Amino acid sequence: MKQRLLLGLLLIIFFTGCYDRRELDDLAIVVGLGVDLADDGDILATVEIVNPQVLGNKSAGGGGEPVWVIESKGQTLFEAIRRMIHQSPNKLFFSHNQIIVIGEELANKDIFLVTDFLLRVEEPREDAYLIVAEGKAGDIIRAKIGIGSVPALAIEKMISSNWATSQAPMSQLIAFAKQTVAKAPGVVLGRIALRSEKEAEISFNGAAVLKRNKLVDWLTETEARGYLWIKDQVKGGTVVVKDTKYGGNISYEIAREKTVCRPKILQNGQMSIEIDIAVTSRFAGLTDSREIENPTAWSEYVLDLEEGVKREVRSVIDKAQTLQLDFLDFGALIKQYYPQIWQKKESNWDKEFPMLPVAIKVKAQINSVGMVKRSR
Amino acid sequence: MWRAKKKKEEENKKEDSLLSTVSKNLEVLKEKLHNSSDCVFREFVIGDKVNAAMVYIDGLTDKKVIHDDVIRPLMFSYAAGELPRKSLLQHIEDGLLIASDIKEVNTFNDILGSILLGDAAVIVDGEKVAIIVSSKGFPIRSVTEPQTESVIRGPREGFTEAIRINTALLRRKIHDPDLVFENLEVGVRTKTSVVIAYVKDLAKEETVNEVRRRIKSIDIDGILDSGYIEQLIEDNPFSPFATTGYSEKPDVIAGRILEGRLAVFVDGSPIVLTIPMLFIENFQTAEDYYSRPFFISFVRLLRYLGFFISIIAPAFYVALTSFHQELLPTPLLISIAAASEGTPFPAVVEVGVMEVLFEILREAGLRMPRAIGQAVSIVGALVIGQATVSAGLVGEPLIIVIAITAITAFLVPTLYEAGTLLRIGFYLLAATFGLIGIGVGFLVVLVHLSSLHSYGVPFMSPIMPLEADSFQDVLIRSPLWTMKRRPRVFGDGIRQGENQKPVKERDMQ
Amino acid sequence: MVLERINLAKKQIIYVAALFMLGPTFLIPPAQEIGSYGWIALTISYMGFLLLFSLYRALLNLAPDKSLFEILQLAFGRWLGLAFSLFYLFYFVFLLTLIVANFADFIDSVVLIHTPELVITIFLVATAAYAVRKGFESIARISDIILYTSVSIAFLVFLFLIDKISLDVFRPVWPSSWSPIFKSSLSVFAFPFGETVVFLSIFNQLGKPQKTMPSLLWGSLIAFISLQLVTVRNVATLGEFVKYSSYPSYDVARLVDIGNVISRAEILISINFLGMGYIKATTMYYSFCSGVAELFKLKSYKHLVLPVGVLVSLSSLLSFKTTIQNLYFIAEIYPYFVFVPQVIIIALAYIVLRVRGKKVG
Repeated sequence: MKQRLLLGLLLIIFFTGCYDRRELDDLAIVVGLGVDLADDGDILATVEIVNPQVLGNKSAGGGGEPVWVIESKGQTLFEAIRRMIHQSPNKLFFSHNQIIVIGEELANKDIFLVTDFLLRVEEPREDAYLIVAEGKAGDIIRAKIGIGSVPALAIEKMISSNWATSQAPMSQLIAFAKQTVAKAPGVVLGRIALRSEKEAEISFNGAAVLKRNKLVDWLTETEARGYLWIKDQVKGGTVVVKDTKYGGNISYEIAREKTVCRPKILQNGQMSIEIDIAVTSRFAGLTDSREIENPTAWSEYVLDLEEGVKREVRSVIDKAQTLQLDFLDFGALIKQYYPQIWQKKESNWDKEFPMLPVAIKVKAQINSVGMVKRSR
Repeated sequence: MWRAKKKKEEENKKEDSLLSTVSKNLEVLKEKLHNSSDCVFREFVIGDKVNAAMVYIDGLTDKKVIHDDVIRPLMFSYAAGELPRKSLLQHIEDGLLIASDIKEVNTFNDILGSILLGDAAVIVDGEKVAIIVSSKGFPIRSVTEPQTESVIRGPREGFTEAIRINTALLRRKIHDPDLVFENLEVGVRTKTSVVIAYVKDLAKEETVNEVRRRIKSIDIDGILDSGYIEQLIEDNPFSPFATTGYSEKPDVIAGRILEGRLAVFVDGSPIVLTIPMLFIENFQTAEDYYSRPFFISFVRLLRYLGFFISIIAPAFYVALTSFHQELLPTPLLISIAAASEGTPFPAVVEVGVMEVLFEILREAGLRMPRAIGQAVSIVGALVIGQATVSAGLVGEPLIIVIAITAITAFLVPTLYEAGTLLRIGFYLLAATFGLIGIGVGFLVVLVHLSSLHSYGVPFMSPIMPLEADSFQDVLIRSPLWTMKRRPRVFGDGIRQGENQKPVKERDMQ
Repeated sequence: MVLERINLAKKQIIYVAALFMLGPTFLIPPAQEIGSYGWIALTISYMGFLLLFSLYRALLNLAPDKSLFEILQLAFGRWLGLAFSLFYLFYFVFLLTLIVANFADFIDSVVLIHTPELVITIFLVATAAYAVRKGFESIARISDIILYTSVSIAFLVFLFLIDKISLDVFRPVWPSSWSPIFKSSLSVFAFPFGETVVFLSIFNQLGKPQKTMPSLLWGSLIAFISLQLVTVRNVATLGEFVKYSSYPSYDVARLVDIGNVISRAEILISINFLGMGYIKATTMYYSFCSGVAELFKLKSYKHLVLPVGVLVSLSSLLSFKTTIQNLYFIAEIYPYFVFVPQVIIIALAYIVLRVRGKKVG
């Protein structure tokens, strides 16, 4: 009997407290976070909060803004975010944050100021996209995209559907963390930019190169594609090649791709990297389709495509070697395959990397002419 | 108090034997029956000479039998002086009474016992015995289709309140001399007859003995329904799960008896208990076996899913909307947030109130006369459903959750009670610990279920412990010809010949 | 205590043993601190376990049908044996405390942040106490369901992440320095493999101990394979990050995203961790209670369940102040401390019995 009583007592203790309960209508659902460096060296955080009443209520069209943007300053990111409580009636809820945009100035200083907080606290998710803005991150968060849509969700969609062009890395926070703890000398993150103030036009392409935690340079679309080729992350997109015979441009659509990077010791004992790319594509646009059925011309098309891909890859390698920054992580490759050699090279890698010979081999295949053989 | 009465009865037993004159006997009987208005004491004379009387209870007896087959032959068979003085009683028994079943008794208590069951007693002057003539005949409900277990395909008859009809219905299904009916009498005042039925070589002997022992040890004043027996003999009186099966349909009972269970019939109840019971029985219906297996297997999976949803849905809703908003996909979170915007109460309270409201509505609709019941459901649907949402008291998603819960709860009717209790428990756990509470609660329920036994058989067999080779009739209902053996826990006998899979003549060559 | 014979199928002892070893190790995978070499440490420690297993087996062959405590008293005499038995009981309750503390800490720091640890601890201990009161049979009966779901969930997560894993992190295959590997093999050996010493104290309740021993071996094999799967999965998904993550399996589960439908399911997966830890905790709990009952010749262990629960709740609340302390303890101190009950005393008992056995026989 006493035991029953004790049990009852315990139950009462339990069910009187709902310690972690938080009501949905008390939550400000954050979908986008922008972090900038303020003029006085503080951290300036901008968050985008959805307004569910406008979004959920389908009948009431155009009744108010779908999102609400607030910004706040603090010595650390956490302080800045906590201070937002002064401006928002509800507690900010970060679990649904989709994008983390880092302003150029802050990226120039130290990106770890942002990532440590986001990884340590349990609410933000590691699979959110971490991207660098050209200019202010706050402007990106504040920009309106389309009518009545949630900008941060639109940007998230923009990033995740980026595979169709493969011109910017889909950099997630977790990927960044993985590279950072693996002591990669450089990290590549996606680049976002406000193209025009007035129209609030946003473009997501190219990439930012960070020397561990500091922004050092940007990659163009082509260079970013080159980076993705090396990382075996090209999922689609077009390769445009000059038509040497008839003038104009030929576009190939990439269907499949497989890249294998291996370190190799050359005959003179020098270390080198060999990149093997196998790409399957199809014609997406031809200036002149007269010779499409001609086998020799066909092999020329293939050669052109291979050259085009090679050019893209070469561009990013040149960039890395001029920057003297191994953001392609060739060092890790050598470590994986030749750990003994790497131990000797590791300390001097910054000096050796710019001289590292890289061989690019592309094996292209064009497997479809499309719906028509000739269009004129 | 009834205990005292019982004791007194035993003391009186010695002075209980019949006297030799009719008038004195009648006096005693009248006193014993307290001159109840439904008792009939008919005095008459046999062959102008011998006083005799007949006692029966009006309404319990078949009047036609009394008149034509008992009184008429007694009164008109002997002319005056023709009486065979010596063995009148024997003569009456052997030659006069046109009854299929008679017996002699010599105590008042036995007379009372018989006439209270609907028999008639004949007393003759000078004899210290009474003849009990079987003349039971009272109105009973005819065999109709049971409302609780209606079927689309399969036998439609259901048990009635009369135990003999019920046993006959079962006997008509199993024409096997090994089918045994054992009679017991339970209830000091009601003297209800309880029948244990089983097939001798299928049911485990120890189970039969155990059930018999438990029923015999019942010491209570009255048994009004088989539910009394169930509650007084079950293994786990504190568990929300019933560990005794029941059915209203002879075909179901026959099926279970053929699997090696035993059945307990209780007079006055159309519900027949089956013992032992397995958890999976809740998910099996008679029709599962009458229809072809494929669709039924799908339906059976739905039943498991439905039961799971019905106990977990409100708790899950509370956990997701009040604790783990991060688990919802973003668009879903936004639409739920939009619906709950402006509702005055926290989700925990909303769910609790709606859950209680639903149970109230169900209970109200159940006990009402059918016409009013309809009104109740209209009020419930309109007022509770529509108005609370449009008044902004609760959000639409919650109404959907409660509705789903309500419907799925009825998928497995025998688990409704346990399911509702579990649902409330899970809801409380979710309101305190979110999904962790649900998870841990689930573990506790699993441990509880695995610890349950039904008359010596593990209740969760064959799921816990897992016996993969006896799964033909658990998650799905495999074709009849694959169910070669009875459930292992009941004795594991073979119940089919070899190769029962249908074979076409053409294929055989 | 009059030992209750517990009727269990061999299969179930296998599953209980497997879950016992998987238990909290699914949550805090072993050898995470050496990242991509974790699988080597795991394999080495499993080899060590196989040696330990043969020691246990040899010991039981010397003293068949005896429980751990009886063996100890047989080997070391009444008083020393009693002292060692008490030491083992202390070790059991300590281990139980550790498991409870691990889970309470995990829940408190990841899922229910604002709920006081006291409430969570009492909740977990109370549910474990319920199972222990229901008996070892009930605990074992739910083990197959939990094992099947756990292993299949772990495997499903692996499948869902197949496009995010990279096997390159396992290169170079062999480490340049072996000492950290051996160090973490020792800790993997202590936690979970060596902890199977607990089974020695309850095996004689499960039928003939010599016949039950193979179940332990099979169980350990299941555990080893599943742990290897989890370790490889975590490293392949998180790369070097696995070293610094507090709960790598949880982090891995967070990354699952199949078409925005099967995503964000980490809490469901952590409930699965709870299920496995539950089996381990209840087994420990049961062996402690039944051990005390056996040693002090009590009629039934059931009266002990509640007081032990209170003791465990309090000690787990007081034992560790922070996660880091907890992790530091598991990595740095624990392996050396538990080497004594897991190996040394058993080996001593074996030697003593062996020597004496020759004298007698």
